[in-house]
Parts: sequence; structure tokens; C-alpha cells
Amino acid sequence: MKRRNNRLQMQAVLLCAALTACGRQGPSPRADILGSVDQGAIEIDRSACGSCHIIPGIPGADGLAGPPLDRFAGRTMVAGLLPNTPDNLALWIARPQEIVPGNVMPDSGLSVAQARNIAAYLDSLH
Amino acid sequence: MPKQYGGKHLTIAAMAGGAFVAAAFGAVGFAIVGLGWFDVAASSPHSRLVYWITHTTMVRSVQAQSRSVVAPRRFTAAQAARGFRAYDGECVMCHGGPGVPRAPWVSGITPTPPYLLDAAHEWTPSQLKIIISNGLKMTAMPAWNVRHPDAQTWDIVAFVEQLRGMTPARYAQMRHDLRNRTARAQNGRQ
Repeated sequence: MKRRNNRLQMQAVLLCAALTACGRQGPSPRADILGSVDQGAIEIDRSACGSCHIIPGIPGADGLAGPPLDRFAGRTMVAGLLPNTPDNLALWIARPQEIVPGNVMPDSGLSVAQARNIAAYLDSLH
Repeated sequence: MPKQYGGKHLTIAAMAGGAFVAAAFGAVGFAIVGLGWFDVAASSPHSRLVYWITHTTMVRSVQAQSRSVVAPRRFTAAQAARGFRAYDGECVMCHGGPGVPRAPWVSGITPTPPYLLDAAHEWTPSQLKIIISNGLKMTAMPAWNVRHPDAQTWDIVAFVEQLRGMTPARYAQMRHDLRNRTARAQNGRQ
């Protein structure tokens, strides 16, 4: 019984991996201008974004403190305040406290290039 | 008679197959341990497979250990206030707080320490107690029982429970109050 559970889990993991692979339709042209999608995934992992946000394709990114970031490419607003353009998104990621002072998301000291890579990754989530 | 003969063949084939599988596992194991196939550099993230293996192992181990740990039925405001003092002094640099970033070098740790604004949703008080007291091997989480007896660790758990839904303004106010209290205590001593 236990072994069967493990096998089921393994299959679930593989299925999830396959589904996320299908869900991401590769970088959009917009994302390419922004930065590197793959590097963005690494920056997201390093910055622990997933402890507060659900982010498809990032292992363990299942946090509920902030909003889920799935299908971000289609979202119209960033932080409920700025239109979701690549520049606005990168700006928000790098300096959320300057845009909404006192909000719960910290200025985590990301460089402009790092923020643009993260924005590129989010912009690849369709 | 022929039936028996076939049975023997099958047994030999099964043994040969088993030996081959064992040899293959041995060879891969030797390559990982002896030839440096596994990349221990913290500068690159875990592969999906290694992440799944290590993370699941950690979660199951914490669940198993915490079963014998009985948490207080409720936490007091005084406990949480004492826990905040420890959290703001020792935990915040790696785990951040509401509106408070982690120290910049912490993003270099693999696996990287999570923010804990959501931790009370993910873990029970007993599990948080086990993680803080005993630490987590192969992460950067120390066993805090080298510094804090059980009662103090429960104080920290009490505060982490409060972190869920705490505003940045409230955290800043608690920092302010703590600094004032410390300053008053120092003045009193002089």
C-alpha cells in the first residue's frame, strides 16, 4: 500500500512537470526584450518569492500571503495600481515599497537586471 | 520434468537480472559519491528531482518527529511579545518579516530560507517547534536548542503564529516599542 502511494506520488510529480511544461508556451516576444526567462526562474527561487506567492513552474512556490501569480502575462494590473507593462512590472518587483509604501512586500535589494529577468519569467506565464 | 527445467532457467535469469540492477545502482552511487557527479555548489538551484526528494524527506521527517510534541493549547500575548524579541534579533535576517527584507546575502543560500508570513498555515505549532529546536540538516537552519530552552522556543512559535496577517506597520511598531524598552532598561541601570 505504501509503495503504491509512493508510485502514485511519483506519477503525480511527473504529471505536474508535464503539465507545467505545456502550460508555459515559451517566452513571448515581450518577455525576450525584458530579460532572461530561465534566469528569472532562478532569481525567483533565490529570492524566496514562492514563500508568499503561488508561481507555476517554481518548485515549492505555494505561498498564500500574497496573490497567486499564475497566468501573469494576461493580468491587467500590477499591485492593483499600475498597468501591467514590462517596465511597470520590473519596477514593482525591484521597489514595491516606493510604489505602495507600507505594503507587505519588501524591497529585497534586487538589481534592475534581476527584476527584469523575474518580470520576463512572469510574463511567460500564459 | 521440462517444467522444472524452465523454472531453473527463470531463476537463473532473475538472479542475473537482480545482479545487473544491483551493479547499475552501485555504479551510479559510486559516480555520485566518489566521482563528484553531484554538484554541491550553492550557486545553482537543486534540480527538480533533488528538490522533490530532499523537500519531501524534510516534510515527512518533521511530521514524524512532531507527533510526540504537545503544543500549548493557546499562546498568550506575553509569549508572542517575548518571541518577537528573539525573532527580531535572530530570525529576521534570514526569514524577513512583513515589509522587511532578508539580509542580501541570504539569497545565496540553497535551499534559500523562506519568508514566514505563511508558515502558520503550512506548519502546526508542534512542527514549528521541532523545526526551530532541532534545525534542519542540509539547509542553513541551525538547531536553536543550543541557545533557547523549550519555553523560549514556544515563545518564538507564538510569535510566528501571529506573523500570519501581521501588517508592516504593526511589525515596525513592535520594533519601536522594543527599542524604547531596551533604551529605558539601559538608562535605568546607569
